[in-house]
Amino acid sequence: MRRARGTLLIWAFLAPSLTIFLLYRILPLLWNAALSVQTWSPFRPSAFAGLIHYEELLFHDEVFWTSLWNTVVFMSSSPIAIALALGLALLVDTRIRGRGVYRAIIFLSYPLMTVAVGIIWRWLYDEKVGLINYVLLSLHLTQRRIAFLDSYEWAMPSVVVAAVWQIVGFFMVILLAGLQNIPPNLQEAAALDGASAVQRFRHVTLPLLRPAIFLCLMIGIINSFTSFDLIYVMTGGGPNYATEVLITYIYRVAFVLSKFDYAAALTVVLFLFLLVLTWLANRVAGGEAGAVDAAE
Amino acid sequence: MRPSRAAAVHGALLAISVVMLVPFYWVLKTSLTGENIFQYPPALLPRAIHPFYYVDVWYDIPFVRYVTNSVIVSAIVVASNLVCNALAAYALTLRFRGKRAIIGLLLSCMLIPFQATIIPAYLITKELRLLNSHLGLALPLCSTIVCIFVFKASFDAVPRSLIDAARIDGLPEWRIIRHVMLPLSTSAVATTVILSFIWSWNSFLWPLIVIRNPELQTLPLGLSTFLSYMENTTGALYAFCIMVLVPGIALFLLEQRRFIEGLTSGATKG
Amino acid sequence: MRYAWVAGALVLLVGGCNLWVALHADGVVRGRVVQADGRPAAGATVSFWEKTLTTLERRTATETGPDGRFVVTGQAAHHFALQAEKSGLGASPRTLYRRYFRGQHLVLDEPLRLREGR
Repeated sequence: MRRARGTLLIWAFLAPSLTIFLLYRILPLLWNAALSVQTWSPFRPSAFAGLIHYEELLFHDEVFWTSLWNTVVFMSSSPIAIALALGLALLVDTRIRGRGVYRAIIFLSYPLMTVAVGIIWRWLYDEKVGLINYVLLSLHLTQRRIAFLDSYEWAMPSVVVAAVWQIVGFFMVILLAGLQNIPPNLQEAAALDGASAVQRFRHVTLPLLRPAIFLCLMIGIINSFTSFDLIYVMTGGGPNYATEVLITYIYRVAFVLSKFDYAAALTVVLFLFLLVLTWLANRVAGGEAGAVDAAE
Repeated sequence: MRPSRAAAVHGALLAISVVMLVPFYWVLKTSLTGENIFQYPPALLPRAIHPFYYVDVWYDIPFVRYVTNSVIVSAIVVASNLVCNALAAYALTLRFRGKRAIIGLLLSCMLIPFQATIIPAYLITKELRLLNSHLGLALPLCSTIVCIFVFKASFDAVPRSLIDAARIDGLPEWRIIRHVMLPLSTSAVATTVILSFIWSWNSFLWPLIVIRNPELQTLPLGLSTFLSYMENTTGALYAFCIMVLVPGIALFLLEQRRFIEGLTSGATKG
Repeated sequence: MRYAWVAGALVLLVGGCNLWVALHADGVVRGRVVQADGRPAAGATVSFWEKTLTTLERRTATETGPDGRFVVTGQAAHHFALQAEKSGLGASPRTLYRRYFRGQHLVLDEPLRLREGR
């Protein structure tokens, strides 16, 4: 292989992508870190300020802790979504006719525009004319209509339900692929050994599904830190920050209040949290959660 | 399978399908009848169907402008993704010094979500004077690491004999990509097109930050602006939602298999 | 290929619709005004209000002829209201009408009925 010309060509091929990543991923990461230790203002030159922003967000900012808590709540809906998706995947994996149709219907919500989905759910939850209130009243599960998106207790669960509705199809498809990768002779051997369906599920299926389940968990974690559209459209941060998650708070601080320096500190915290959580999840999964082979 | 068991499975799946489809049915019904915007109890079946809310959306909302902007940005993103990612993936199939470092760099960049970069990305776009422009909207999405690895996996599977034969024939590298690699990687191309199209079409946060000029608003931005003006006082909002969702649903139904494969391979490789 | 069929069908549909609209968009609304007992009301004033998503504005007015019929021309609004009144005979309630496309040639089915004491 002609080395000299070849190498130049190779770097030329890599250049466009690398420029984009440099400009919009690596540079921003470093810039965020730098911004977070400065005082920034559009009118004055920046000055180094040490850790005052971190001090403010850790000790003086209630909204930060609220939004962090809400993000954790959002994140803890992932296991529920995964369990639901697992049930659905098991149902769809049986040899009934029309599974393709069921799969399409359940998956349909995922690739759609989240803004439109948020508007639809916002209206379903409406206090006066929403369908959900009507169903609850008809089934006599409640005496009065509930203002879901305007109440402290119900706002976050309502948003979580909408988020689960949108993502359960995606999880189901991933788990379905995992189920279909299990060699059927393992199941048959277990059945021959006298294992019941439940035992087969617990000792054969579930362990072999671990990579798929942990992949879903990672996606769920990342989603809870990055899911902006749904919350912005449904509640805008909720009645008095009840549904404010970290990313919507960062948006508000940066682009509504124009406090780029403080928002940069918040972003650094968000990123660190995300890193730690994905690393933890990966460790718990034994490092096999769908990583790409980095070797040649 | 025993018929009773099949019936039970069908029953469960049918119930789930109803739950998944009820929001769509409800929005469609309201956009066609205007019931349940103000009145209660809601009617479960549509009573008087009329398409006039769609007429409202067509004339009172700059729908065509929103769609045009979204299409332009998505076209830029898809084209750029195809070119940049295929080139980069091809380079990664060759042997060169620093390859492991580059792959490690790309893998670690995958850990950085877009949302963690919005503030500097805004400042960078401002420095490049690309605020309020289609290119500025498209630029952060113009190349994605997931698609590079999808292409790389596909290119790695091309038998070396073909590539060597092409090299012996004296073809320059980019022609090898175009005539040897890409035709054998149609699923990778489809995955890249689908993933990049969906990401740019549905992208809301970035246009929200970058666009101040109403002439350049994309569909999600237009929808949310309309919501903030009109709340839910008119059926035109729901007609707008349906008009926004229909292309997505139609595309999905046309290319179901590729959609599902593309989105899951995008996840499993990342 | 599926896409060719879908795209072709879309182009035909859009082209056909545009053609139909172009042929029928003259901006004319025809109707008639009757008194409370059903007799045609000549010389009544019919005012045309244009309705947008947020406003309702009066645009123009016309008079009915001896047979109670009126013609409103040059108004393209797709959502509008009409109200007829004649001194001594009362006025009709302001009713909203819809058009399928701007400027659609519309002939009202129901007459505008004048009512006393309004």
